[in-house]
Amino acid sequence: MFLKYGLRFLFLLMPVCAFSQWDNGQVSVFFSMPEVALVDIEPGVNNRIHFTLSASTESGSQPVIEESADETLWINYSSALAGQQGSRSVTAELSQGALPEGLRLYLEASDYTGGGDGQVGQPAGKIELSNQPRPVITGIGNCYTGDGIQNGHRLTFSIEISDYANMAAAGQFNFVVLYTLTDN
Amino acid sequence: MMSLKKYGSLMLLLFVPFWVAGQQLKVEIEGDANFSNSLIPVREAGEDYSSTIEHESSLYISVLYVNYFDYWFNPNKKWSVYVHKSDIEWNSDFTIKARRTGNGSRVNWFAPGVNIHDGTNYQEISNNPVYFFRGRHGIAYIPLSFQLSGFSVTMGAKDFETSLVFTVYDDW
Repeated sequence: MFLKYGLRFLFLLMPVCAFSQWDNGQVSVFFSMPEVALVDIEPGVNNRIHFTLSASTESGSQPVIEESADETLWINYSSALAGQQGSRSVTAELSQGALPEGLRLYLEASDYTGGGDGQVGQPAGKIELSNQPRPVITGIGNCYTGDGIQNGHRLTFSIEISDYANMAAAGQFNFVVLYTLTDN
Repeated sequence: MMSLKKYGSLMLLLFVPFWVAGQQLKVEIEGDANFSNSLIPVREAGEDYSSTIEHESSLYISVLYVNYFDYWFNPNKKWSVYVHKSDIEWNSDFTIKARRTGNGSRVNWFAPGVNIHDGTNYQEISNNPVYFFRGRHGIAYIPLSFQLSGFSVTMGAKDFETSLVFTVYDDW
């Protein structure tokens, strides 16, 4: 009895399943995310820093550096690397002008802080600036720091008198620090 | 003779429904969904990509009768379209949404007027089929729009690809 009517019932039900789907069509969604390597200094305008060396008021004393350190600048960057690339660094160098004789200019980046995400870089410590690029921040992966001050790494510039004997006469010296986000 | 009668009826039960169940509608897709030119570059150091990009209707889906005579003899077939994606190279942080931005058009001059419902609000496409929209009889060139979000420079420079699958089901 079951075989007779059960089978017929089953055959009746099976096509219901076969009915449900008719056809499908496919389309590929594709997009390519490019490499990104952007770096800038904040604030974007009026980002000059000034150091003034004055003669001592006391005979026999060393010259006075009126502002021996400046911490007003921040460095921001965005970085997206291709799959096989390891990491990037920010290097700094004096691209225009030259330091007066007898002076040394140093730069140090702070630890990262801000509203970014990803593999941000690590500060490379206090480096002396010259006309050769030197890494200031290393180990930068796929990341962004956030834009503006209080995002990224605070830059601290400091100046030291290295050799009094070589210090030249009074004058104004301008130089430009160039930052480059470079592949390692 | 008895056996022919017995099994004949079974055979009839078996084949008649399959004749009815034969594929009646097909899906055709025209256009592409290439977002590469839609990605707004990062303009300012420290920033990420803007969160969402939209791909306006350059993709069209048509739901058509397989048999041309069905436009005369079976014009009111109800159907529904489901959509899902099948990832090829994808990131789980991405969200892709689709919506229907138009009603499409009649397949030919003797086909009934367009009858289509739902799917006009963006809805997320996941790896499991979800209902998208429904209609009756054949409709050609239904325009679709896509929205993609969740991308970031933290994903690196890479190509991403997923396949969107539109399936038409009988809508009884």
